[in-house]
Amino acid sequence: MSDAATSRSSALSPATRQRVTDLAIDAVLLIFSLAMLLPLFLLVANAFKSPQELLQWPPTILPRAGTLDNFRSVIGDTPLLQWVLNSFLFAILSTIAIVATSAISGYVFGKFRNRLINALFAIILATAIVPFEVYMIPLYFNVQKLGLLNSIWGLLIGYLVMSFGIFLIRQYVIATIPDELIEAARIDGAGEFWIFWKVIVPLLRGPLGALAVLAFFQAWTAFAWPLIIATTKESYTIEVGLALFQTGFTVDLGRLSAAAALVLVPSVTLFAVLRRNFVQGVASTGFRE
Amino acid sequence: MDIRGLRSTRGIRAGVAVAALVFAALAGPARAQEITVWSGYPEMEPFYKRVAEGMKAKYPNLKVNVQAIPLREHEKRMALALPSNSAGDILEIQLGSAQRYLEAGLLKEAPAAVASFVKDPANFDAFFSNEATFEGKVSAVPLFRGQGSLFYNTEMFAAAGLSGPPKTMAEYSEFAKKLTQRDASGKATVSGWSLRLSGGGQGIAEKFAINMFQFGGSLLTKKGDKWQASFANEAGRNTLKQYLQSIYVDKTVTPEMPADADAFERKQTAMFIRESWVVGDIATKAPDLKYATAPLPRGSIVATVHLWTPSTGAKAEAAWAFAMAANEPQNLSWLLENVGWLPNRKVDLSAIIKAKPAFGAFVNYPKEYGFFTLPAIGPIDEILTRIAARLVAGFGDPELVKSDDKIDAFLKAAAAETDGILQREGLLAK
Repeated sequence: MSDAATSRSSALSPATRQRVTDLAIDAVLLIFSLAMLLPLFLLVANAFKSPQELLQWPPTILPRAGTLDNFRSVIGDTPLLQWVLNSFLFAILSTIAIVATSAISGYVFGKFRNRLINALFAIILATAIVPFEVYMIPLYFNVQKLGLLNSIWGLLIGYLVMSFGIFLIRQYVIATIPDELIEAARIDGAGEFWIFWKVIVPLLRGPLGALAVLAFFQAWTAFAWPLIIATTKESYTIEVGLALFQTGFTVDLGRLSAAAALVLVPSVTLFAVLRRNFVQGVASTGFRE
Repeated sequence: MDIRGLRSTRGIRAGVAVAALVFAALAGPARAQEITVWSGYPEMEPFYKRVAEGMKAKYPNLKVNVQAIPLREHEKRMALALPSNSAGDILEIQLGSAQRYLEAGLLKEAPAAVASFVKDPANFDAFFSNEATFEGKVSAVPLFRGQGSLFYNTEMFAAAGLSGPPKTMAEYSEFAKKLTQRDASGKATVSGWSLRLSGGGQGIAEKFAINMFQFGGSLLTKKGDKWQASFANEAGRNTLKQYLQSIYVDKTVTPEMPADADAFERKQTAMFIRESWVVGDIATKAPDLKYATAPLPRGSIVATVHLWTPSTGAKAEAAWAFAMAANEPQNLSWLLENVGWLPNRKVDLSAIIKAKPAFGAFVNYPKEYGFFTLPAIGPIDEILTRIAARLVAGFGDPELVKSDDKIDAFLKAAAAETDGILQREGLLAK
């Protein structure tokens, strides 16, 4: 660097240097954000393109001759709304079940310590490292024996409890809820259920919100389990339904993009509504799934 | 009418309704029946619905559900549903996948009338009827097949001064040199012949097998009831050498260049080998493309898909009736014209070929044209995947093209791995 340049650089005030640094960071973050958003943007743009335009090379970013045919086709030719409804029902019920089981178990494991409970917690924690695919097949046979194939209840059986959720709530309970608070409630004559419902659950709102988002997306994006449990088109979840836009050797990119764009709406809405809980929960545990 | 009369009328109506219900329940063949078709090709759904619609006159109470999902997912479902007796009544399965279910007794034998239909040479070549036969008993009705042909861009051929498709493997290489388009630096921008050089899974090995068949070879050879790797020989060497020369000597194609149907439709390659579904794909995505098809020099791989049933009793009867209806000539013509898959039954398809000449190469092949299929043995997927992984490594090794000995050593190592898998499974021929 020349002497003149060195002197110019050293002449910058600390405030200006800070501003330049901030601007550089903003620029880098902006570029990364755009890079992350581009696939999403292309997905939506592709939904408005004809098969011929989708084939063009290099690909067009904005549709040249926008068409709604893909949307008309996916809504008219497939039970897309039924699939979304199935997914929504499945995800909501699974979320409720996981939040409930995690809250109760996490509280018990966090505040009621004895050897048996500790051993039970260790077993539950150990199940977290067993991939779902390992016990998916025996679970399938159980669901089949119960006559629950092609039903929302059959789907739910695999998604009622989340060991990670139990761990998350337990850690939160240990770290943030003092024993004295529970003792004080007991001295005042409160029953255990009342303490849980009126004292503990309100304090767990943040991590339970984060867990709800994780549980919802886990069920919403599930593929392998709904694929084998739901074999009639009417009982598909949206993830399984989207697979139908693939033929023997090709993918119907236009209709797939249109269906995927429509499906984004509920999940993006839920994330927007619960984003504060999600960020708070992840930040407070240092974990993410 | 007084209240007593009203009660009496209601009673008669209720009695008639109950009697009608009892009669309907006891009516036997006339009672409503529901069967389900499981397919691994979503594009086949309209075909099956059409078949079901056509059956309404003869089977007015029959309801047919069609559940189609992509092939890999279809296979996963069957693997769970067949042993637990919760699969559909008509299953569309390739022979290779059906073998294990046949051995386990999960797919049922066809009734005599269906067996006679399948065994009749007027309906099916022996190649197809044998594929539908297990331990001497017909267990399926052949429906359609995947079969390769050459697709070539006629505009690019004319520009290169070529009047017709290549007829020998040597011509494939010569034509590819003439057809390759290059930029100012000599780098290929449009491949002369799109070879499968990269991508996932066993497709690379399958495409290699197709090319090797033209040189008179095959990946595996059957000896008695066992198998042996058979590509470490002259046919294998010629095939791999052609790939390597195309990449490193002629430079008509590279692993990085766009390939397959999309590349052909975008005019990024002048010719490639694929199944008949590409005809329909071109019609949708690149309707203005000027192209033609031609048979391969010696023959083609054939992947046949049959209809099977795991059901018994009345459901099985309806399932076999459906399989037979699917094979009616007007349905098969519709299948080729609208879906693009080739029917296995011998039917007159001339009207469709006249309207869509690109199907011609798939149906009007030379008399001595050969067909081969991949062995229906348990470890075939693993064998193909392993061979494919080795081939990808080989295609990226410029040293191989310098010496036949190196190619032979490469093939020998790959064949030894294949034989090792066969031995592990108790399938290796001595």
